[in-house]
Amino acid sequence: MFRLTDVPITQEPMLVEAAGGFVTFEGKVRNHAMGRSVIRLEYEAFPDLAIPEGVALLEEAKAKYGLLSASVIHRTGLLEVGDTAVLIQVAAAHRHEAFAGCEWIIDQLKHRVPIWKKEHFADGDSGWVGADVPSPNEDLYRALVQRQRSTEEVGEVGQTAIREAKVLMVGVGG
Amino acid sequence: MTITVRYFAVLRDRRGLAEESISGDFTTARALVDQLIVQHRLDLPSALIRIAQNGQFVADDSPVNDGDVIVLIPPVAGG
Repeated sequence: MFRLTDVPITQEPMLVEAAGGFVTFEGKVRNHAMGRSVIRLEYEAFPDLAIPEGVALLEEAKAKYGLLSASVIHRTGLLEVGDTAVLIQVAAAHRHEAFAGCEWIIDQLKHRVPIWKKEHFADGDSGWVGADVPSPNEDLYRALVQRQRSTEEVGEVGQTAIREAKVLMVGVGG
Repeated sequence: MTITVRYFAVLRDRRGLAEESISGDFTTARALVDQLIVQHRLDLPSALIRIAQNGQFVADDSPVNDGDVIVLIPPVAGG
């Protein structure tokens, strides 16, 4: 089941007697994005396409991972820090397929389904992710950060300092 | 021909409206999007915009017909 809602998400139990592994993912609003402080997120969807695409995605997940059940609820509207934006539940006979299938679903949802996110920052600015503000390339970011973290001269302390630093750029023409 | 165009998210903000009815000689879906980008200074690369026609994603060369509903899908960011 793929459902959109504009009210806070509540989780329904998934009842599948042949399943031993049940995995739930909750995507929540965090208070930072790309180094900036976030106060709320605004989600917008195009239901006519989002729902069929979401349903198709879940059918693919079930076929690919042998899931016995898979469901997504995605919230739209204005969400505060800590609110749940998306709830994914999967059930499989065994845990490996459940974990892998759940991760695949959120990864696919992020680039296939017509749902958009606008970040509202603490400084009053706001921007649509992927247009006004960059989409985080999470894999690349993780790889770069990991390299810096494991460099002795930088380390975890250095990585935190880099993330929290502010940079002033001054252009003087010419 | 007359068609309906719908905008979402950043494109709606930049166009200033969610939906409009337009008339003209339209050829393909992509050519229409390219035209709208220039005409309304939407300031987003055409390649980043997916196109839905009458409720389905379509390829660039899909011919536009009278009465179509064309939706411009900017980069998505769900979850």
